[in-house]
Amino acid sequence: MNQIDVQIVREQVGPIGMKMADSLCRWLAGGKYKSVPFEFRIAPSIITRSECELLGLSAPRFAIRKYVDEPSRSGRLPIFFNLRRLVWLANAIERTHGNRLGAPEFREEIEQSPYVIADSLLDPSRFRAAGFHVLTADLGRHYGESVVCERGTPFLQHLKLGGGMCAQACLFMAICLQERYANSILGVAELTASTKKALNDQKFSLRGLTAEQMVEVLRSHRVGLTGFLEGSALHFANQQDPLAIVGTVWKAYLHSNVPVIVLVDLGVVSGAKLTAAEWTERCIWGRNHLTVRPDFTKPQPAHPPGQHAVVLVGCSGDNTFLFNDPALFPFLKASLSELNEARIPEKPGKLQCMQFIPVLPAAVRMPLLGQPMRSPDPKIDYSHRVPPRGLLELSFRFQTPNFQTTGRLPKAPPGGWPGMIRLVDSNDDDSVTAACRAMFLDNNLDPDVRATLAGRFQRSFRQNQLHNTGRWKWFQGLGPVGVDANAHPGQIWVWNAEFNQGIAPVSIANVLNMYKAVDAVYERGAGCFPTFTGSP
Amino acid sequence: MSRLQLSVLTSACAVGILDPVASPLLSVYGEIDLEIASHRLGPTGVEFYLAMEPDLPHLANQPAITSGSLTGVLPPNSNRPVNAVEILGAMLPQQLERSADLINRVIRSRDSDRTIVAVATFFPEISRSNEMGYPARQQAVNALANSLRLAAILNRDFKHRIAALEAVTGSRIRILEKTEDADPLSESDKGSQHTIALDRPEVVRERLIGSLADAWSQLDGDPLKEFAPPVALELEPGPCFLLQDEHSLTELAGLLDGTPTLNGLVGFNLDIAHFRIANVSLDAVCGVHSIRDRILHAHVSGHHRCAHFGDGVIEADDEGEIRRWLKFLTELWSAADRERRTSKGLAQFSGYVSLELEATRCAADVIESARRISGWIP
Repeated sequence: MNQIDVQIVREQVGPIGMKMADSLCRWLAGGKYKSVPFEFRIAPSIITRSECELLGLSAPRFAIRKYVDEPSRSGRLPIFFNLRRLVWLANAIERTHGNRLGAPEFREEIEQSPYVIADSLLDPSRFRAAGFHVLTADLGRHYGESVVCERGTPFLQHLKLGGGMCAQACLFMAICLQERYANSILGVAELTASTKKALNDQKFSLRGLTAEQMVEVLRSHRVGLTGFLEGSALHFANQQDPLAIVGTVWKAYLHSNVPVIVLVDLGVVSGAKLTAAEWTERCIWGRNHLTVRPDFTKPQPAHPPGQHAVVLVGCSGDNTFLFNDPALFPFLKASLSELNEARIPEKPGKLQCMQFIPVLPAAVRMPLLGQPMRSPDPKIDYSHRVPPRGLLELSFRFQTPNFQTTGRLPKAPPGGWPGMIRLVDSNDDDSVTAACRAMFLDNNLDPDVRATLAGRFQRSFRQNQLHNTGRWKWFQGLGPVGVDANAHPGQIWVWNAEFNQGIAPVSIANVLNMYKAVDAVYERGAGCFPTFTGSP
Repeated sequence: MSRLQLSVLTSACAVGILDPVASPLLSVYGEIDLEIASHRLGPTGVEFYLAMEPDLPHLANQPAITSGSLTGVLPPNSNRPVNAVEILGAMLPQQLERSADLINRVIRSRDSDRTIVAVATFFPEISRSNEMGYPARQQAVNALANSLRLAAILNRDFKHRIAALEAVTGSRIRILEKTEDADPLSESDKGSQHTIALDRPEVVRERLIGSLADAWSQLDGDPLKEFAPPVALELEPGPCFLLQDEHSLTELAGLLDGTPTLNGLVGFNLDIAHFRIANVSLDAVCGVHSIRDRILHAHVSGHHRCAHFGDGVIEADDEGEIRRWLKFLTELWSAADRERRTSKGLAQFSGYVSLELEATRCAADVIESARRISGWIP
């Protein structure tokens, strides 16, 4: 009903925006196209409406929705995205605000912006076929597009107005992925206005948010989720490889359908300072085999590299991650070590480790790594953590032979720590079933046996009244899967993810007292019987 | 008690409906009539969206705005950006009459009995601070006054039954400006930045009331005033909007209670989707007379539980909840409610709930939603 001609689209979006949209199509299609036919229509957009509100404009609140046909599939790709009408937006801003915003530079900044993608929903089949677990949200019908894409991965590029707003874009994507548990999904304006500082000062800057502000927004009543600023510094397990632990943690979150916002240096990720020859080899954007280097990634003195945020939306078994970069494309690949190399540069008073924020349901009070303490003085060791401590710290104390346990918990099987970890919504049978199956993932296991064991564990879990005390649990599978009664099975620890640690000062005694966070321990196989059950 | 009736907002068609060759929506009304006949509902009413950008040049009797007049760069005959408050605010009486005639002809082009029952607008500038340096607020006041005149002409001369003129209340954003970097939130990108200042809600509320009073005062002494519908203010979910939640709804209702000059002239539009997204409970609306008695009209659409991605198709899962709201709307027609409104000098409820599927994907979505909702109307 609302289709529009491509000529109108070109006029309203502008040549640079159209070029970006075309590049994105090629990227999503796997670079197989020579040309991609498009179809466009006027459509509502939660993002463009929010940006209009932010800029004091009444139009253009509608976006131009773009569909992509794939000739080889004889049909439409299960994706759609809303394009910003950048030329129109620039005109409207200039007309409304005149020189107040620094025109004509401001106008040029909008009109020449490559950040054309407002909100979108993208089917990740291509990446799933390549072995990735990819997070999606059931949003197609809410966009009125269930015919095109029922479930998809949300993506948007941030609007760059003087400063980037990548944090808000990442928050939007992550909150969309947790839409089942959020109180509300806010547009860019609302997210920016939801920080305590904005609420207190009754003003805010059109810039990014700090990591702490991102956490603050997630925890606001309006959003109704939670986040923890976690870091790769591991004071509790010095002999462990921090990077490997981060990989385990990220995969545990992602396989639990928890998106993770990672703070990176945009300059390193985009290779802003690299020559053309270096670019394809030495930065994440370049190594993603983009057919051409986007013009805007070339060195631009006016846009210095700096703190940037991306959101992890997928992972594979070999520590390769998929992330949505609001400054470029969705589904970019990077290894754990590549992302580590792109961590925020060391600055006085700042953490010198990789930092990330898992976006979790509000009731979850126990993250996996916990929050490292920030030291104002870089010479002071920052390797302490402020509450809440992560599950890994507690489990390291309770499960590895280096530490004394309280004696109340069973001895964990040797090796393989920290094992397989999943977050479970005990109110959701699908979530419980998936996590139970994950606890028996073993390539050597017959699928029928695996299904039997998973079902057995699920029954044991459901029959244990103690688990009714909270909705959110962490499952942790340790040691081998035991197939029959004669085997020596490993263990499945069920942790209360809602366990309230209080604000006890940092001490090993306090940590050891947190054995109460363990609901129960089960045999990982055989009868899946509980070998330990805590007190309610 | 009279039966609640169904109407459909023309904003389903975002490419405009006033261009005779580009009005795919118009046939939908007849199709919906056939669909809902089995539910003994009357002909589908039209809620005309006045601010759809491609329609604005037609309303202003300017079929082609010359290149450069508004955009500076776009060629003529394109789907160019135009500003609703500028165009509607500047319309002269003769243009209003011609526009009313055009709207009437288009709406009745397929069915001579088709009736407009409400008009929708979008003038968020109505509560904007003058600090923005652009006369948008005054233009919005003028646009609102002209919209009221236009609706009055449609009622008086063409026998439409427009019972409400829906309007948004704008946002708390006072000013957007470029400032030097005094307090950087980010650790990079030092230099200049763009800063947004918010007004306190009570300040914006007062400004809104002033604008509404100004708009209505423009009709003082005008014979059209008696045919003009009351303004139905719409809640929009989001922390920057003035009318955004139960608290702000209660506050604004209280302010209207204290402004008797606007009695009968201003009330609320109950957008069921917006109310649900903003967690405004039915109980809160039902039980507070200053809100309940000011509900003039209603919108309904499918939506996400907690986000406004757009207007979705109404789904079967929503039946229980939407039925409760529809039952409440029906009660607004009860003798007790009508008498109470009359005694307080307040306007009556339109008797219609409008299906709003703004810029929808296809006509079939509108028809499907209409079929579903018609079965839920008590």
